Amino acid sequence: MSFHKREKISISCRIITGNSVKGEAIVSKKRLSFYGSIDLERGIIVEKDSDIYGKSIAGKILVFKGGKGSTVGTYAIMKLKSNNVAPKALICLKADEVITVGCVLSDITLVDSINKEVLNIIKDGDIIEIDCEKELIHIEKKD
Amino acid sequence: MCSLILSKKEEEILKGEKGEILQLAMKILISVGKIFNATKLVPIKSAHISGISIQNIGEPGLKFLEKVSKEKVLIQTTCNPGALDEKRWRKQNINEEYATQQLKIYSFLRKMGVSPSFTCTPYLIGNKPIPNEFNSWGESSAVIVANSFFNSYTNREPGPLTIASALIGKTPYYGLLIKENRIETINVKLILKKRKKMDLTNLSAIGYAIGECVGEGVPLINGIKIYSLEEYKSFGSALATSSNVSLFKFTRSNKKTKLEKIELDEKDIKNVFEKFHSSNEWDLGLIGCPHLSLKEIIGIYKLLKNKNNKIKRRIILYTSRKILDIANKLGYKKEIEEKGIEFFADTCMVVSPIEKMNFDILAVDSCKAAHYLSSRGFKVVLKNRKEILEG
Repeated sequence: MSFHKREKISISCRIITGNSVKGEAIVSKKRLSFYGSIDLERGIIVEKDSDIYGKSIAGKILVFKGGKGSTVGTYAIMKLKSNNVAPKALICLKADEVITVGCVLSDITLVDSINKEVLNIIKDGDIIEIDCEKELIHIEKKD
Repeated sequence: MCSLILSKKEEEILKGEKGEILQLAMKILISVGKIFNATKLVPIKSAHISGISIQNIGEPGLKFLEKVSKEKVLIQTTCNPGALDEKRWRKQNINEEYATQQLKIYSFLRKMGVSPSFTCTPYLIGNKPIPNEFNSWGESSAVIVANSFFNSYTNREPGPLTIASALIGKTPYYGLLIKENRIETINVKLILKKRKKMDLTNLSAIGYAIGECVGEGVPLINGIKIYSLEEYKSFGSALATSSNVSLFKFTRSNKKTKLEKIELDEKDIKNVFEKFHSSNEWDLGLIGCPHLSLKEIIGIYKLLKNKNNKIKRRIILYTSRKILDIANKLGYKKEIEEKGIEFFADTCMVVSPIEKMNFDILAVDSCKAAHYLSSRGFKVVLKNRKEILEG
């Protein structure tokens, strides 16, 4: 059995709302509509075209391109939260007002302004730590 | 925590010194300000709250409104239609439980000091936007009219942000609040055949076609000129439905500019009518998207005046409570109802559960209504008002 140190990467970001948080990543390279694309009872992606179709975002740190679609998305985020299946945090390239208001009202950490390469670097299962003080994201790669 | 510069008073609110709700409101303003790189919050003259229909916002929205209803709005504030007519909701075939939820939302809004306008046309009933002043309005059709007809300044703001703005009396300084962002970004040339009079449905289709083509920005439109508030309302609401445009301008000049230029002709308008043409038949006519003005109700009365028979198909007119009350006092409501046509106030076809009514195919005279009703899976046909009223 070999013990090697896990690879760690830190990248800069902009904190929109919320507190420092740590969790497991789930990554989509596409845009996501919170209204219509997610089963709000179970926190599972139900949009067939999504690259994370069938996967759960509950309790995870969701890394994705950005939002799309209906303004009702704000309330969909709140619904996820009240059903205890919301992500711990959202990381995207550029946050929009629908997602932003949803995160403020649901107390979910939201960060944006990451380099788009980050969507290729972070993989499902990596451990992500968002540091709100320093506006940094620490990525610990899964073995 | 933010790049926005806050005053001492704003800092205090953010820290929670004025209570939990205002703290939440301030957090909303700052976070949204942040994503648009706003540098400050600015005082506003009015707010218009969107997203109050239980059909759209559901339980989470209801809970949010209940929570914030413990505070009062600081400025003139109106709100959008909800899912039901406060007086005639039983005629909408809505069940008691659903109605109770919507009526709760109405009461939370009243408690906050929001004017119970329940309309997408606040500018027709006293929330008249002041030129060159800042506002925080939701509802895309009202926003585009406020900017383009009244030259008052507002972004198209999400519902909860309009509430936060109304409670704080301020909104983030970004987008269309900044003069430089109100300059035209694209030229639109319309090549249309001469018409005696452009009806509102045609204007709506032209607006929709332009929106589909430009997507965003501030279009400068040449080849058509509209004047009345009703025309701005029909044209603007459709333009704001098919695009993110919230301000448009007209020009008579054909002068060449450096701006990108697009051309639209009769074919593009025809395409809109074809897009919303499920059938030649229809069995429920819905008029009043956006809500009818008094002038439009009088227009409908005049179209029906010489008709001897009752209308055969079911037709519903949607307007605000205030306008309906005036139409009632002036006798127009009764005259129109005698022809077999119904009125609903406080609600509209877009934000109410119209599937509860029995119908196969809807006829509408507005592209905004056609767009949203089609996207909800209903069969819709776009016709002009006169055609629908022939019943």
